[in-house]
Amino acid sequence: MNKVSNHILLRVYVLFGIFILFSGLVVVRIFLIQINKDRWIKKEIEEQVYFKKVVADRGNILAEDGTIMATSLPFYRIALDPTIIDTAKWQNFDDSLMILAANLANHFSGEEKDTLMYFDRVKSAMQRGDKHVYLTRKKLNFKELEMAKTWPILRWGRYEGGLVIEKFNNERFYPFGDLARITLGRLQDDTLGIRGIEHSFNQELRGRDGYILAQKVVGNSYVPLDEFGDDGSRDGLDVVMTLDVDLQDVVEQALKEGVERNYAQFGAAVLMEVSTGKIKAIANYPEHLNHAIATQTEPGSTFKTVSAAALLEDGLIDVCDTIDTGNGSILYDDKEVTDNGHAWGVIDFEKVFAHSSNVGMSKAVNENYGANPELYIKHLENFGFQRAVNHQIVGEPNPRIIRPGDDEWTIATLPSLSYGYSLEVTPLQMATFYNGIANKGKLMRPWMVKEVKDNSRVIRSFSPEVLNPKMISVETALKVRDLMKAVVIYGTAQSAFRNMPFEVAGKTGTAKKIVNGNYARKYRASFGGFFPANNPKYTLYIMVDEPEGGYASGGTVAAPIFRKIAEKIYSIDTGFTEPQKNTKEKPGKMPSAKGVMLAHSAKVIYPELGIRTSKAPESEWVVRENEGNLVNMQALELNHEDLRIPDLKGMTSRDAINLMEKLGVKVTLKGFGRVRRQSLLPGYKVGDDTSITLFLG
Amino acid sequence: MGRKNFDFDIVTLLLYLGLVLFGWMAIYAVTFTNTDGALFDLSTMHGKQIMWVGISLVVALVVLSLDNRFIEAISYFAYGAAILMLILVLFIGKEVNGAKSWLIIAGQPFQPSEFAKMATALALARYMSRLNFSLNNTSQALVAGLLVIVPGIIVILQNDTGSALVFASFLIVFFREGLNPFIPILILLTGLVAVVTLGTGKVGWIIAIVLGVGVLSFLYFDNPRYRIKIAVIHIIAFGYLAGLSFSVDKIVSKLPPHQQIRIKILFDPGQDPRGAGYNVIQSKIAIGSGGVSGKGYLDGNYTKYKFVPKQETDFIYCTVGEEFGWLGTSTVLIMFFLLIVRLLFLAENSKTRFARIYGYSVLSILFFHVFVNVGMTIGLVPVIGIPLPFFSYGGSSLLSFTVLIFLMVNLYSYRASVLGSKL
Repeated sequence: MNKVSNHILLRVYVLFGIFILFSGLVVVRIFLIQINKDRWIKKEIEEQVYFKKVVADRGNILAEDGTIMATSLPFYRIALDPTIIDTAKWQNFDDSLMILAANLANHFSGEEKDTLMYFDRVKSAMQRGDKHVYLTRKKLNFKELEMAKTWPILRWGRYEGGLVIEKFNNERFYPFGDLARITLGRLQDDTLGIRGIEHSFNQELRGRDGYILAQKVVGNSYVPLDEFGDDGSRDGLDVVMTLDVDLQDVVEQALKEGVERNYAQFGAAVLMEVSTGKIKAIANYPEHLNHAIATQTEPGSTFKTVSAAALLEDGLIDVCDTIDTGNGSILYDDKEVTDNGHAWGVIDFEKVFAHSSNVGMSKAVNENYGANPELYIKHLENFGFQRAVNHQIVGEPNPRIIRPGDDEWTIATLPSLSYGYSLEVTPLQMATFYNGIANKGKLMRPWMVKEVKDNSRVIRSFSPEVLNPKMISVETALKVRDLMKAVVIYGTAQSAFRNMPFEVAGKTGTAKKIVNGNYARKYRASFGGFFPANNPKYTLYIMVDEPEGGYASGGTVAAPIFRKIAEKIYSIDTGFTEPQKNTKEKPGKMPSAKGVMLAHSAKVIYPELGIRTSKAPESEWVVRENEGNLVNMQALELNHEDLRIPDLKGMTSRDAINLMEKLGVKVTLKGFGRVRRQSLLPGYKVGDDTSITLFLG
Repeated sequence: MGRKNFDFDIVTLLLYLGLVLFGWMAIYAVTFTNTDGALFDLSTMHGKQIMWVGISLVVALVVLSLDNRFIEAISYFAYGAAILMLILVLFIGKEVNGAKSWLIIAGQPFQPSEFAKMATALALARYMSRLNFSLNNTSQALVAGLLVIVPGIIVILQNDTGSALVFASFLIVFFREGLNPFIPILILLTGLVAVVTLGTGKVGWIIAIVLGVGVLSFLYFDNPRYRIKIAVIHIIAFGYLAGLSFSVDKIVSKLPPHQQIRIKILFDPGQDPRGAGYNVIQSKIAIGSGGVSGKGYLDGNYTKYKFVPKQETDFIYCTVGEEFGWLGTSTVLIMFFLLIVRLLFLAENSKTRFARIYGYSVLSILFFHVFVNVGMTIGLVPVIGIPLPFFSYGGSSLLSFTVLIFLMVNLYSYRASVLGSKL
């Protein structure tokens, strides 16, 4: 018995020992782990935690009145993971797939119209065992996504139908489609501006990407370490342009019509506000290149205005002085200058200008400046033809002018300069000069971007800039204006401006193009001028490249475009009054706890303000209301059967547009800042073509 | 028969309450968010767990009020019911994380394998407390073994290997009740050889050690009568171990992939840091970053941001490690150690064999759970999905351990009421 109990006791001790041993093992092991605290904390940061980029929201591009011309919205791409789908479970899977394919073909048929192609795409992906196949290349907006989710297979969801939705946060959206396309520019990869404002102001629009400390978890997703913290990102700034959407539309339409009617290669137009130099519209058609800014050409006869201004300013000639244009031909060295078959004989300077006599103008310039061409060149520099005139859009070249002393300079150069050859300038540079005439000798710098703003706070603003306070005297300017009126009244543009309801001053140009080093029978028609002639408000310069058919000249091709634009603007802008000044920004009010707000904004703002809130619901948008000293937040339900307009008051324009886009509502914005008033009352039922106007202030 | 003297063991109760409270605090730390309101909000985990603690305390009172003869009497019935339920689960069970081991009863998920552990302990105690029972009797030993193996196998069929392994802890009971030490030693050596071989890959070195240990034990049992028999047994055992050390790789490769990877990451958690190894790395970082004194209650980043998957259940020990540091983890461990040793004391001082065997079963199960669960959070044992008693979130586990413990407290309370002892 004793032996047995000893034996048992031994076993109990053995067990006791084992417990102690194992416990000791654990305690020591934990101690060894925890004694190296720093190492593990380092590891925590090195391996498990990483910085995830938060792409900043790109700023908007706005027209001068606040109309949004470019904004960023979320878009989606849909793909299928066919390995998820249990085809055995779904009867008639192929039928479902065919219906899906037909839906895709019907709705997203950009370049892919074939139902069978969609069908085969998925089928072959299934045969290959692919885990991912895009259903369409098109990026869908929220409404389209919701629609797609109702289609067969896709409506089975992520885990049954294998639907994969990729969200793109920063898809660029241009509410006016192609309006001012080339001037606004476009984006590459949704972040890098190429061309236009998007490129020139990329730095400002882009904002600053932030980083959040994120934690990787299984399945290639992440958990933000501090979801309420500042990720350091700064949304891009808004760029307010001087453009006017209505004027831009008028100019683009007229230019397009003109280019198409004349079967031209391309056309360009620049509309400037005389007193400020603001570019109110700038158009190119077709929109391949920004010819108005970047294309350098020999301007031809529109440049005669430059010569006339120089001659008159220097008092070398007066409008009624006569010039013998002979039979319409003159030789400079071995270069012949002609009046294209006309023989005007002895005519006064006004007629030389109005009929656009090459012989007359070249004679006047050559006789007066031939001994000292530097004087003439000096004028060109004073008139702005020295270097690129705009500072805001990248890509404008400096004017190219052959100067005395250059290898190309010959006896024939000055005469050819006098009527617009031997130099290359852009339409914008020509417009700038014409604007100087219209502005009575005060040469303004053309500008296109008015302000860079952070919501309603102006970060940088631009103001009218004088390039040359007195490029010519007021008297000279008025004389040049009268010459230009003569062009319209009885000169080369007479037919285009018959029965014009208001006075216009302008000059035609029909430049021969150089093809293979020789001047060919191909032309570039242009017209530069301003209106109303006696109290000019707008300067307009039109250039049309290679118009065909009939007698393609500045008077028959470019002048009608000018007229059409001028008339339309005249009808829109009654009385040509000064544009109304924007009312001063009101100081920001405390956000009223009413209406809709982005949930993540609410989560940040209220704690910041020290305002107590109810628990934030798990949704993108929340509806807020006051409840005592507490802000009650509820998820904004987007019931797609019964969509209702929410209360948008107090939202930023960007958030409001974003939300309205989700509801499929078209938005028109008036003014700046936050939503003050909305055209549709909260609770209004959203239909297929609902549009809303939001008044900001 | 009533209790002449209610020998209520206050130490066990205090340790139990301490562990439950500490456990709830850990759950609160995991599920705590700034915006949460009430402590008793049943939509939160910590709120629900409070409800389970309450239910457990009521059940503990009920268990304490039971008659010891009633407990003994229902042992086989409980065992039968457990086996039936385990089989039922195979057909109508709900699958969670790949294991089909849950039943939904009255809307509440319930894990029959938890109940089966207790029922097996009762049945084993009942069977082994028979008057003439001896583990040296082959057929009786076989029946006792089957009592444990049958539920274990059914649980394996449920694909819940972790819970099935718990049944291996009954080896401790058998050892206490006189099982030839050769068997547990062989099993321990099997584990040792497998682990060291997999860990170091140095096969020959292992064999040398095994043979050395074998020769030593051979010399120790230097009894001329059994020398040849012992020698033969040892040679077979060595052969088995040597064979094991050569083939353990291949055996492992026959296992289901998820188990293979769990074994592999035990030796190299970096092997699949975003997948299976993830949990262990995260867990070690959480514990390691706590240092000696911890980051402070409710101040653990890892806990707060839920980096460690399953942190409220299987990996709850990380929370203790991160927020209370080494001092906290050691405190918890010491409390468990004291509870186990206290149960050992209760078992050894029980007057009935039934109580003793049952007590040993309880402490064995408890020991296995604690060692394996804590071991896996620090990369000492492969990740086996079993909960840490009183700590892991969930009613099933808390209830079953409460019943396990208080049945023993109940049985012990009859100490003074039982005349003599059945030994």
